Amino acid sequence: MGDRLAGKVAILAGGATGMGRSTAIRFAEEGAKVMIADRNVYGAQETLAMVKKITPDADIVSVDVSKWDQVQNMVDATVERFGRVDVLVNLAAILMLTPPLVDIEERQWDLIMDTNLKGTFFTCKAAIPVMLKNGGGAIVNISSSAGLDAWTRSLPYNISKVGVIHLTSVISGQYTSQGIRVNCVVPGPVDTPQARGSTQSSQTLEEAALEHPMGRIGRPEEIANAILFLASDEASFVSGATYVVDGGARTAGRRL
Amino acid sequence: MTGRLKNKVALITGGASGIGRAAALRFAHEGAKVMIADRNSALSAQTLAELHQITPHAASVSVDVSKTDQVQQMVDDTVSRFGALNILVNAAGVLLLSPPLAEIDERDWDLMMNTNLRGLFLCCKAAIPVIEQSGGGAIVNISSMAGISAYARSLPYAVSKAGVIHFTLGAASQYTSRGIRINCIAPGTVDTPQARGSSGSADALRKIAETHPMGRIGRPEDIADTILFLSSDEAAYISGETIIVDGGSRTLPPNI
Amino acid sequence: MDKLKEIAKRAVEDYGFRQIAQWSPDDLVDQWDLTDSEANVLKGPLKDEIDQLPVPVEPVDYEAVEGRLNDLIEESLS
Repeated sequence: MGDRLAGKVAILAGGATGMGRSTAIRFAEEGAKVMIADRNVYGAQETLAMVKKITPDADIVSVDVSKWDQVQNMVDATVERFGRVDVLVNLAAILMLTPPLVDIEERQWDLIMDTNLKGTFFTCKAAIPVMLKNGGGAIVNISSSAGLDAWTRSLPYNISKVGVIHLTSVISGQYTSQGIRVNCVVPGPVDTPQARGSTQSSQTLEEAALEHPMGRIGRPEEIANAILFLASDEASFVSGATYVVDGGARTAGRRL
Repeated sequence: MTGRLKNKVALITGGASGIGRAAALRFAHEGAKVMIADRNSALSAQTLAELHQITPHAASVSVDVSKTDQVQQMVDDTVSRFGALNILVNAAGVLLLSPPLAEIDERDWDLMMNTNLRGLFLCCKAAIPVIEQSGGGAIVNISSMAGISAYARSLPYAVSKAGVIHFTLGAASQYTSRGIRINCIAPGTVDTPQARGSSGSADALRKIAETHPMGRIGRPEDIADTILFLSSDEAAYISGETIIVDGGSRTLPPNI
Repeated sequence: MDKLKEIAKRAVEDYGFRQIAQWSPDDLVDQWDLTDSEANVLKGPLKDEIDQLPVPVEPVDYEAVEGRLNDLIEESLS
């Protein structure tokens, strides 16, 4: 418990489960007012109950980030409830496994791109004007190590996540001078429902842990700590940056 | 004072001034026992006096990091004074302005390579066995944006700092699995004695600030905050990474 | 019916797809050009079942779970 986000209002898009849930709890512990935004309303309610044990200043809003009117509503509801927006964390994303390129269906491509990339564009587009009204803020986008390295199990996911990294750079170039810091966290393998669901079996995750330099995969709380740092004033000179949080997996060396 | 490095023993090379000094003060505030190592003994004494206002657990040692025996002495002194070593911050570095490549004096090349890269190697070589004996820990290396982008004013400096980034990657690939996280920070222009001295005039720094997205250059404290983050358990799942702290200046599009 | 069975199969085997089926079913109704009655099953009884699936469904269980969902789909559409 601290005060590193005391009085700040944070929107957590994708806040219902996994890293989003851990971030909501971590932010609340540091004094933030938290809006949990997700299309998974059941998950959001569970997270809200956990956050409410820490602070009364928390709420949920239902949103599909790929729909502009719903995103606008998410920001409006936050301002109505808490009066402002200081921090936006974009955690909403889906990972669908796809076959190799030739066999990828257009609708798979669209679903992944719409949530992961267009959704991040939409939430930034809606939140930035409100942040500018109170003199600035911080945006933290969540990419994936699949956005840095080739990962054959879902080309659309890879591309959406590299898009998030570059979107972060460009938005930072446009809004840092107006007081909005924009950064990106790139998690490696982390034990979330998404990761468990998308590896298709629990055994796959256990095997990934065995090959990891730390002998385990990441915990959602460990990503939440990086998000907290970037959202807080401690990162006041950090903008346009990409923080890889993968426990050194990328440094393990390739088997040539 | 929040105790994020409570009872950790930290050795900070280049700790007498600039980024190293800011890190030493920040670490002391967070409960660490701090050994500052620098070849500038007069400045070390000043910084040590400041540290002693925060904690009795601080000391200094004179070192030229390019000299093997002095580096070993530095590590030995730290262990005999504080009984362990958990964190090594490699902030010692020199920047000599250089003419274009064909006219670079071989001695200037050697000076920068010896301190910035060979010194980093020697410090890690001496410290890692002791960090392992102390149950693991963290190393933070200070590179520079000059190691990422082209830097016309000193090719040897730029190359040495690129080396620091890749050194970090390689060292992490070997020691992450043994409980030592190794990371790197690439600061942009920061208001240090080094930067003031190397830019040639205060006016030159002022001009950089005017075109900077944040309207200012970095403060040593900005970098110290990131060093603290990477040294602390909050960064438990980060290793091998290079974190840019440049206030978003890299995200400004080039003037084409 | 076959489209709905394919959607159910994907929801079992691919958690990313499953979340679309759970939380943005209208996207699938459009993309897959589902009939009104298929859409109602997707958003009604099928969603209720999908909500209860473990994350992930282990590969050894695919056949049993998908068989159960197929039965549900046939029953709901008849």
